[in-house]
Amino acid sequence: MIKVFSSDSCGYCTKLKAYLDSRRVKYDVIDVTESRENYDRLIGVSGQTGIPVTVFDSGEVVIGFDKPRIDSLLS
Amino acid sequence: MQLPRLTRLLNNLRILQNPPNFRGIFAYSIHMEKEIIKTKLVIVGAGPAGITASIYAARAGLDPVVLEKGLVGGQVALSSIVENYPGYMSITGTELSEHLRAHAQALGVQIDEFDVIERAELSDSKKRIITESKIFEPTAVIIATGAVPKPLLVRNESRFRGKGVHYCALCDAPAYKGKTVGVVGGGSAAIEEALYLSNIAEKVVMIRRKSSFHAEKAILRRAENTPNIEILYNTDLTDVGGSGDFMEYAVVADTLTLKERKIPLSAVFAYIGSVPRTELLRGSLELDPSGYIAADEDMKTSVEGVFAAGDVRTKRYRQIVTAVSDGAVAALNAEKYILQSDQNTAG
Repeated sequence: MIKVFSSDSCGYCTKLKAYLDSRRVKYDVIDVTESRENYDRLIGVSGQTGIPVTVFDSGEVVIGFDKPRIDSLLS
Repeated sequence: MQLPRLTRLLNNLRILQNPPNFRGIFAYSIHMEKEIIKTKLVIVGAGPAGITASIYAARAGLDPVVLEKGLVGGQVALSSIVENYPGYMSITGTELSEHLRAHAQALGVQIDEFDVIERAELSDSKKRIITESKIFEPTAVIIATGAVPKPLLVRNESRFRGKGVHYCALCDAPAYKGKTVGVVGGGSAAIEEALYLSNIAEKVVMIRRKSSFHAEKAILRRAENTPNIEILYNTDLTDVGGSGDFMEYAVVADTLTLKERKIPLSAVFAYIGSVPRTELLRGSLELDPSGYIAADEDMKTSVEGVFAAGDVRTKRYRQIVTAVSDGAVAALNAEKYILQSDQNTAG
């Protein structure tokens, strides 16, 4: 399952999730503000602290709302 | 799938055979014809200017389409708190953006947030906005794509954006009442903002990479004579940091010795210029030397039927209220243009 690292107050996180919904893609949300552990997981997978971050089943990591890259990985 | 729909779909498909490449393998690609949409008004950008234009246009019965590749609300959506928009003593940028969206959508405005514009062909006689999936052929266009502040390009900038890294003192300064803040930049705007901040913050530290400012001398003198403004010449901001969610210090380097040090700052305000989002318009519309759209107070651009509103337009003050005002004027003039155009076509 695709994982989306995000928070409720992040505009591009909301946009990313809305986009995945529009493509009928299922994903798990990991709220980085919920726990230090989630924050550490974000840093572990992406090497940075910015959100949103999408982690695909293939292990590919997309930082930010990078629609062309997301489209490419979804296809 | 129903047969007529399938037939239409097949008619819309062109199968292109690429030349043979490796070892006789043929590659095929499918190119879908884009849907052509003839409409009265396309608004590019869903910040305060674009949304206001859409509200006025919808109420005028123009059925506007709004295209936005970033966030609805534009730069407002990235602001932690808005305290200078009439009617709201204090509101988060997220909330205000959602109010803007809800207002437009309640009037039936279509906001497309995912289709990205590939190019715009704008002339007096014909307007075409080509996106990834559609071709819009509107009678009139309002460009409200906004401007984005030039980034500081320091490592932790995005982490602390809105939580210590800011681009608008007028908007965000009140959060730093009684605190020490920094201002980065070398022009009059940076100094004006430092003076503004000096009335709110306990202390303002100006971080200037060079040994002088390229600002008006009178205003520089005022800054130099303001007791709670400290000017650090030959000093470059290299990073910002903090142990929690909010910024607590800046890392600066002496540009002569390259020696770095930390200075405690609750925020830095960046005034190193802004970048208008006009990359798609070069060659289509007259731009000023900084890339902003040259448009008059009626929001008319160099192309008939194309209007510019908000931060993307050449103007002195870039505020939410001035963007909203621009949006209203642009929509009203677009309405006039469309009516005239319809009459000309009918006549």
